[in-house]
Amino acid sequence: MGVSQEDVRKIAELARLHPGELSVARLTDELNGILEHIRSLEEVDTSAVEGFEPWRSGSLPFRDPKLGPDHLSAGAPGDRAPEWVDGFFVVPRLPALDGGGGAA
Amino acid sequence: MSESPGVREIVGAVGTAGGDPLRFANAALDRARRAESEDTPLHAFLALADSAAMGGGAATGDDLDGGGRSGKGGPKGPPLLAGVPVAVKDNLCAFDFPTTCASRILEGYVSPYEATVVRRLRSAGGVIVGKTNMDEFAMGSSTENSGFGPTRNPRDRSRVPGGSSGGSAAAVAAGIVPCALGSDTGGSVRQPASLCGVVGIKPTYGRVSRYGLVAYASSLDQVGTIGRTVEDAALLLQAIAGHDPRDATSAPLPVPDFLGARGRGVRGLTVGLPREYFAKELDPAVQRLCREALGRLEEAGAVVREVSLPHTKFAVPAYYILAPAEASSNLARFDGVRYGSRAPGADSARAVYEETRTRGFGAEVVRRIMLGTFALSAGYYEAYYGRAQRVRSLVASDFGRVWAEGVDLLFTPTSPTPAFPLGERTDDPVSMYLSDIFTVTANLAGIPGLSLPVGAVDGLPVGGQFLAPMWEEPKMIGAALALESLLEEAR
Repeated sequence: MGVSQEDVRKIAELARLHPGELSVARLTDELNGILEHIRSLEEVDTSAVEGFEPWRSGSLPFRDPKLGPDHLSAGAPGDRAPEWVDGFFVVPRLPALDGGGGAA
Repeated sequence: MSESPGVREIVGAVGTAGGDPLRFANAALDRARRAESEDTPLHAFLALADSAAMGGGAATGDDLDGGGRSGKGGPKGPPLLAGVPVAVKDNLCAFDFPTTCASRILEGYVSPYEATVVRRLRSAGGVIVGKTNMDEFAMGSSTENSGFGPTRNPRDRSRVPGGSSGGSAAAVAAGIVPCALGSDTGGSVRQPASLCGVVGIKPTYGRVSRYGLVAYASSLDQVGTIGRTVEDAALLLQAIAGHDPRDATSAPLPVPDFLGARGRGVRGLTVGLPREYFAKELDPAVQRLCREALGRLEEAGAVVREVSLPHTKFAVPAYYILAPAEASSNLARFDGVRYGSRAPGADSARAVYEETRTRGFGAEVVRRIMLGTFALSAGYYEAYYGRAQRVRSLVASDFGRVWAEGVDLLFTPTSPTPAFPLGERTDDPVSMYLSDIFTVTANLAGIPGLSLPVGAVDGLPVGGQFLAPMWEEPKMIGAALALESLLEEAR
């Protein structure tokens, strides 16, 4: 099971990447080389395994699922924000919105 | 160039009346600056402290003590790391330094909070002299994937130091600092330690907090320590280990004395020799030196027994599905909105994401994000990710069976070859990935591992690796102390 250049363009879109055509060709070759190596996993009989079950070993301690205090929420968000106006974080405006580049 | 003394020597000198607590850190900074200004710079550091005073000072804040921790030194003695200069891998958040993960996408980024391990080492008296170079976002085995240029191996500057914690390993091997922090997702502490001729410890998953470690693959990442000796690496681990309420995967277990088994030797220990790690394809010199080390253990009273870990050959393929899958999710946050740099001139939110990520990430990071995205995509998830998770379970079961058969520790090579020349594997991802063939299994199973030098071939260090059951670091470190001493006597 390999990937085509079309697959690579689709994967890049999902990953929010925008490789040029040269990069797409190179990535297709590289990913197919890696997937060829990974194909050896098909040799393994995994029919008796549910998934990764580290708790089966009994070595990993588990805690009760209870909510504790959120150490990150102490103080208003504005105390930690570089810019905070009327209850909003202020971030740089996208140039496309008004042709400018400054903060609101 | 004079080398840094060891941790105990520094703590002893700083603890005496009138000892300058920053003397050793200032000397380390001088050594670091010299190493960076030579004709062929080491390039171990991405950022250095302006002065030792900048990198020191006890941590402030709450809840540093995770229960049962012994990082504060003796009841009346100086703190565990008093005055000790420490280098910190650049994927650990620290005040006063940028945290870039060696990526252009985070160039100049300064974290508003500090990693628990950094707070703990400061609170134990350690002084951070700088942030070390690494493979971008810890993805690599040679430190050639750094967005800011490669680090060179101090033993031979035409060769790689290993990776991804190559800067930390090089800083210790060059004698700049006695110990350093790294991170180990598939061998990134142990493999560079092996290639640079120093000691690297990857603790059990959950032994050390990951809060403030920039995530690569969260179910595999673990902060580890590098030292010139087993003792130095273990003392740094002692200072940083322990439960942290800020990391849900940190284990609420007391921290043992990692040096508690010192002096017990190896008599009566059963050491397993996994036949899959000593296959005929292994570099003959590495094979010989590791078998000689096993011979020393046997002479000292250990019982060496050949064992089988039949799923070993599937560990690298499973790892290269699981780690990129987790990375593709973890690195989604780097989009030009929240951290670091933003590509200028984009005309929509989507264009901001795509331009920033395409320009900011290096080739290997793009490769792994693409691989992970593919493995998690509709129609492929079960064939790749699901199968890799089940194989991971089988790799872990191999270890469980061996421990149940009465094996205390395993001993293996750390890396299939000594340090390789810069550029040799950069165009062949699979050959680079196979550098981790002996180390990834410990990450998949969550068990601790330790690499220590067992000799050299043509002047290039070779490392041997102890692997232990979960939470058995004291036994592993005790055996490593014994082997280190046996090899020292034999020289």
